[in-house]
Amino acid sequence: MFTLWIVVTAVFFVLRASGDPLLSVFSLGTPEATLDVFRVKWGIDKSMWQQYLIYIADILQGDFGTSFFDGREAWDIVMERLPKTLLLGGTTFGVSIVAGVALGAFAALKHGSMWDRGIMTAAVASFSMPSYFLALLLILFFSLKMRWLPTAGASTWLHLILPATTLGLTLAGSIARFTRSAMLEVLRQSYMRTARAKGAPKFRQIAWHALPNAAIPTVTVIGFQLGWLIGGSVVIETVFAWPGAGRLFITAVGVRDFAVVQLFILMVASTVITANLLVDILYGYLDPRISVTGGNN
Amino acid sequence: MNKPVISDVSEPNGLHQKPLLEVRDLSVVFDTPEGTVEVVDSVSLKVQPGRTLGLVGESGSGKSVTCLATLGLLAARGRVTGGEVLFNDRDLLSISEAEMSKLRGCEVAMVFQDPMVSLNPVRSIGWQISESLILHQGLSRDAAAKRTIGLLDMVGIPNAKNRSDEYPHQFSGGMSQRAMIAMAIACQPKLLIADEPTTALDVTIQAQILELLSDLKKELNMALILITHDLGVIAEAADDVAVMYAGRVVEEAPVLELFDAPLHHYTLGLLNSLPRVDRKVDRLSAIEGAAPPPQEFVTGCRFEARCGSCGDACSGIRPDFTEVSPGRRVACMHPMSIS
Amino acid sequence: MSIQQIEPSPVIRVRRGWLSSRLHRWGLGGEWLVTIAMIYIAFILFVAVFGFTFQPYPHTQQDLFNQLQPPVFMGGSWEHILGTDDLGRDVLSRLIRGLRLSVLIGVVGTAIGAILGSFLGVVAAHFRGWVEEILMMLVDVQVSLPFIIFALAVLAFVGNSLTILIIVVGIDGWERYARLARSMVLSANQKDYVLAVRSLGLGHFRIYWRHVLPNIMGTLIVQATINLPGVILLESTLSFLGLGVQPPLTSLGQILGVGRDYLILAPWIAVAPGLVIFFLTLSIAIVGDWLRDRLDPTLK
Repeated sequence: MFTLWIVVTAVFFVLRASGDPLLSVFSLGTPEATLDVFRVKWGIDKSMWQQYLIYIADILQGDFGTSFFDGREAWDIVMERLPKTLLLGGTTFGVSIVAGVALGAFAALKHGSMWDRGIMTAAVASFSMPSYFLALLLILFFSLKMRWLPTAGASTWLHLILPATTLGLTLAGSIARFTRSAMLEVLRQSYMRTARAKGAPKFRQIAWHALPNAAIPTVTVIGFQLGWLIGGSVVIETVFAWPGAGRLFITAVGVRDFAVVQLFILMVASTVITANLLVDILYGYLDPRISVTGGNN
Repeated sequence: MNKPVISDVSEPNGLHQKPLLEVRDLSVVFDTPEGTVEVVDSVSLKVQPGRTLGLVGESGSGKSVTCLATLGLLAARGRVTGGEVLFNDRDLLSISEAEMSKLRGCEVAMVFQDPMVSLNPVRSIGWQISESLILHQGLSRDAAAKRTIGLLDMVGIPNAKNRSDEYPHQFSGGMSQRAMIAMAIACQPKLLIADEPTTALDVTIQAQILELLSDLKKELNMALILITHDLGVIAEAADDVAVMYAGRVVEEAPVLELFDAPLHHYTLGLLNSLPRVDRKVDRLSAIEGAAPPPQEFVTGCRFEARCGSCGDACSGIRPDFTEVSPGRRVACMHPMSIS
Repeated sequence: MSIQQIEPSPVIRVRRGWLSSRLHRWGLGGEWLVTIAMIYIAFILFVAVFGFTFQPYPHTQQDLFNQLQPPVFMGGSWEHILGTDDLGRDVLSRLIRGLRLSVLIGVVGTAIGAILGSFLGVVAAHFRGWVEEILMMLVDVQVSLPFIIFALAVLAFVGNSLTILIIVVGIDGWERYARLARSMVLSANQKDYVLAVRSLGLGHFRIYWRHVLPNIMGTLIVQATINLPGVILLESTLSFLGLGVQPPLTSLGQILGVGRDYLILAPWIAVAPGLVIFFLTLSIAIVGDWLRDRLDPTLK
């Protein structure tokens, strides 16, 4: 919570430091009087500190400011676009986790073989690849050459495939990598041998003994990837003209729309913080050696 | 020479019975980046039903590897290159992994050295023990849970009902080992292999665990292979003994006879290096030199370098077994004579 | 069947060429992939530094009669090996020029981030108390926001000069250095060798500089190699979106950004820089992994 407050404050002042937002809205020749009117309207005639306090007070009442452009409430603007982002992000996240964990575990089981090396090289390649480049390549091939999939907009579920794949590949790559190393570590342990000595068939050893142990560090890592996903979706939404909140952010930043930018950052930060909290809790649940009530850090 | 006190002597000669487990000429190699190394060289062992075979030798002698190989539990780099392991007339080395899984934990079970790392940290003790029961005896979850509590009781864990829901990190070393044992005997195996079960534990706990094993053995009419480097443990718990050195068996004897009149010079050296309570010694005697690592195993007698009594015939040729009496063999060119 | 003895199989005697034995000495014997990666990086560095000497055309030279020419292997001429862009500028030349800036920004940025982050970490570990609290708080704040969003906001609002860009891009990941440095210094301060030296009366700064720092340097450098690809990618992403390097300056990401609009007509404008970036970050990642394995196999 405290962290969140710091984020908001920091962003506020940094943004304000940039200079007069009016200049980006109005052309140069506008008479001062008109500008003054808007200054009052938007409250930027007051000193920075005053603006800040008003802002905080407003937030606590649920008012996140008005967009300089739209004239509408920032909250409404963002909320309008949020579902699309959630759709894209959620799908990507879900699919990547499943694919990443499966591939990573598989690579660990086939340690040292061609499968292992192949998957790992592909994984490293996938997160070295700039996501927007991958997006362009996929567009080039699947949309322009093959004409299978649409490139822009979000009207049909077909539209979801390319952006989700682009983001998803990179994410799955890093998840696979972590899962593999977690699995390798687990498979080395003595208790795996005990499970085998008990007569547990291979499948059971993996599903009931190895994976629950490997899940612990993996879950932590996956939680942290959420932040990355949000950052990546901003770019991908732009490339694919996906009408989500990320793209909104880019445009808002381009025109220096304080309210929207601030709100967006606020939301992102709170999401990441919440996700980290959830991961901590989940961690305590998965690993009986940690006592959740004992507190962490 | 004083006879050590041996608490449990069952029939000195169960030898006319058919052995429960018979290992014949087992050889195991390890594939390392530097090359293939043989760690077990044509080892043969017999375990009689209801008796304890003590397998003694120093680290690197191949005793653990031999037993892991019999159960097919070798690590990825290990390979069996020869021999048979006969259990109930089946060669365990030739059956499929699926069939082996059915045997493990059910008819033959194994207990390992360090119980603290040999138990799954994210599953409760009760769950892990019940798993054996569910797997091999098809019990329901509840029935298995009940039996588990009974088993924990049997191995001497107080307050079994509550402790059954606890996790390995909440158990002490001795308790964990008891839990491991409970897990191993859950399905009443005919043979239990215990690989250095007491090495990682305090001395006081050691005695308790050995006693537990001995009680269970009687109660369940189970045979036991006890792997150890500690002759004291052998004296306490074994019925028959096989001494291993550098990947080979060098001597086999019933325990009393081994301590009474060892035939192999290595065995003699081991016995002589035991601290004695009955007479004063200025220095503990030790066998000069050190056991060779597997990369340096020679074809001939491997103890020759450290043996005080070898002759020309000893190097270059692998000593064959001389059967001195039923159940008593030694692989030496110049064994000690029997008094 | 009993086998008396299996001789450890002799290590396969391969007749090694000069190159191969050199590589072997550096522990690269079986690692052809790492070798290729290193060669690529060296090549890129060479081009970045000396490229301008063999650049075929000035990168800003427009040739409006020759717009959107394909590269030579797609039907174009040898005059423009990699084709031309929408203003007739030679893609290869722009690539060379852009590479230079991308590499510069990446390396300088990473260095800035590493030094800054490590410094803060050391300071926090040294002073403890509220200084450390503040640092940890800053780290928490940083972690709660995906860096690209932060960078976009700063660049858009604060300004877009090259200096600012380098600083912003470099800061990406500072918190990792800070955390690492802090925890390593904390544990080093407990170590006997530091206590011994301190009891001899050596000043704090000297202790850190000559005794503690050399020991933690390895891990920090490894972290830098992990971060470097990210920094390069960040700069290229920002430039791609139009918020990074501004014309007339050019970086690889920027060229890609332009290329996006001409994807159907002239895909090479985008694909060429994209591949360069991709292989560069991939190579750095591969070499970084190898370096990590060599320096400290226990690190994962």
